[in-house]
Amino acid sequence: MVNSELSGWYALCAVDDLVATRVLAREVFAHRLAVFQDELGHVAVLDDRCPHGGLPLALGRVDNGLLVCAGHGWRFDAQGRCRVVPSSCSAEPLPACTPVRRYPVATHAGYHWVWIGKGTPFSLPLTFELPELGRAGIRVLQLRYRVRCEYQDAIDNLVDITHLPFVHVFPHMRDIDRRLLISLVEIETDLDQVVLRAGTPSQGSADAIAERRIEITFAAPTTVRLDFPRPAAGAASAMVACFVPQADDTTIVESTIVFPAADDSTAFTVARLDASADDPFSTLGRILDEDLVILVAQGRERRLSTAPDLVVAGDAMVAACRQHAKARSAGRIPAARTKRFLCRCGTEVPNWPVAE
Amino acid sequence: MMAAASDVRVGSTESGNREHAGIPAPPAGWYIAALQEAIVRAPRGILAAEVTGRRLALFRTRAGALSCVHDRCCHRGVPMSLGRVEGDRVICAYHGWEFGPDGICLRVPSNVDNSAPPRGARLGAVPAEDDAGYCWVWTGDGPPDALAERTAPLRDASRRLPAVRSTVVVGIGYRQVLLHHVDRLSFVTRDLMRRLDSAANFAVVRVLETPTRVRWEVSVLRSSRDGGPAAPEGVALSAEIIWPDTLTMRRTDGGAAGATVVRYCVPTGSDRCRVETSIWTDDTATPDFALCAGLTNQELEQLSPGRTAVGRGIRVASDYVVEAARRFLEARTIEERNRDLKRYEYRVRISDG
Repeated sequence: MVNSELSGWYALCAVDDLVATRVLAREVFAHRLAVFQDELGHVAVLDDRCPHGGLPLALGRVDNGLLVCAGHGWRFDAQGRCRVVPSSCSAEPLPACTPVRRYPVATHAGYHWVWIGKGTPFSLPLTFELPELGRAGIRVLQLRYRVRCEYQDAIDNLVDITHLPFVHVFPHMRDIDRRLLISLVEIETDLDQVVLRAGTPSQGSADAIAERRIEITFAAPTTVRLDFPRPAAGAASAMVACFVPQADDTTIVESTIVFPAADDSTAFTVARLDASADDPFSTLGRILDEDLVILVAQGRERRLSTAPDLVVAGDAMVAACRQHAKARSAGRIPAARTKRFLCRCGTEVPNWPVAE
Repeated sequence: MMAAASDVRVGSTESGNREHAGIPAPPAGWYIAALQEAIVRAPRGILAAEVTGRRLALFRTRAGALSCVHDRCCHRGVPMSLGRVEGDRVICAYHGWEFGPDGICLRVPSNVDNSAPPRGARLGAVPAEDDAGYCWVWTGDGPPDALAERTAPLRDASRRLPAVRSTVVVGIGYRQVLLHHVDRLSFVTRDLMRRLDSAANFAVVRVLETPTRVRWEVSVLRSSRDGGPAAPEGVALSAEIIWPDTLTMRRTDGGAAGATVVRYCVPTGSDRCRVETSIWTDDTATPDFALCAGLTNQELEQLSPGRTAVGRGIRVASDYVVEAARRFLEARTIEERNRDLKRYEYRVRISDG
């Protein structure tokens, strides 16, 4: 296994996915977790193993705010303490077992999060709240899917704008190609996050972006937000994706995509509405498919070979995100810095044949 | 030898036909990567091929020269075979890095000033040549040997093009596939001979071992009325296993219906291989055609690790050729092969009477 465990917050489930009477089974690295809600609505994340017989607690159910093990009906509270052993006579004291390991949990940006690893939990940046969520006319798509690749490669793919013209081939991407052809890229690292902004360089100043096309925010260990300023009608304006590493080197992606109310803007966007289809999700599906082809092939290759990657200037965002995650995981404070450079993120001509 | 075989105990265990620990990896050499025409048919001009555990990508320059590189971009590890060929360059599907036919990176599109690609930006290049309708790749580290020796079976057969060419991917190791052929041929022989000559009741099998081959010839023996053996008739079937992965079969019986089959069982991984078959025959219509291949393609596809391994277990005299082939295939070095070379002749009963 190439992945080493990075300390930090990982998304468990969308808030709506957690129903009062159900226990969810989740995995982060090699940690198996049982997630449930007690009677006060507090979310509890316990080690997914009953101290009695070793059965996964996630096979059980929730009754009166207590997690009931599917094996012998032992009941546990949100602290992981055993409260009821049904087979015991009334006089018999509860077994003196240590509580089930409990993980720190938080609710943020529409997700429940769990803290994995050592150190004091740091806070997730506010950037990941999507204020649009409550507004009228907004459509929201929440996706949860598994990719057969390492989480690091999946994150790299999302924060990397230099792959756009080569992987995404269908007609509307050509428009993006031209707009991003020679972009000014600005990468700003601070304590909480790494932010990439890219767009046309301004005529007057070599250091200023005239028109921002895309903004990407990364926060350790594995969360990414994409923003598309002034999206086209029907297109996504923002997206948050949390990558959750699984024990078998696959990755669960929890993502929320926001489609604002229609307006007439024709600015840069990734998930533009197809003229022929009413459904912006169909375009989004194609974009995902194209990335998945690459990621799955890359994942297969990574399992077979440990040859190192080569890094070029265009990989600066990927490198900055990896460094940031490593520093935060180790409890260091990442050095604040800003980097600006020109980068080709498009092609002069649409050089890929349109997918058949 | 027999003691070693019983120690290993393969037949019914779940390891089945897998190549065993202690059996050497396929030797370095020239192997068939693909049919020549397969590159032309590849969707974006680039074809993935696996040979002795190496994942390779094959493509052609505008001038038609064959090029073979490791199927892994040095940037992010994405297979080059997902990319495409443009002019003389192969272009990665992920970030559009462009590589020449020698595997050296020529352009990194995200570099605005067209600055030179980073040092060490190259794909491993593998010697590759076109010959006899196939693309061949060299799996050794040093300079390649002459290819002619490996393609000789395809030349010997006939000057004409083969009537049939096919490729089958098989889920067991190449040595086991070869042994399945030897095993099957000894059985086919019996069946075939009886059909050709109902009066025949014995076949004579002559086995000849040389450092690079195991050859065996089968001729029919018709017993005389008084029960004593008569002189054998002409050779009806001859077959060879040629180091390391080749099998040839030649039927010379039945007058016009002679046929030659050449099969390369190319090791792709430790327990799988790709069987490249060429068949020369005048008679593709008759049922005997399937027999001349020893194992049909359908039968090859069904070979799986679950089936009993050939070449291990109880041996009787008529299995001699299987045993000889197994020893040959599992030898490590020329010296080891030289030690056991034999000429051997034995009889097989082919009538039930």
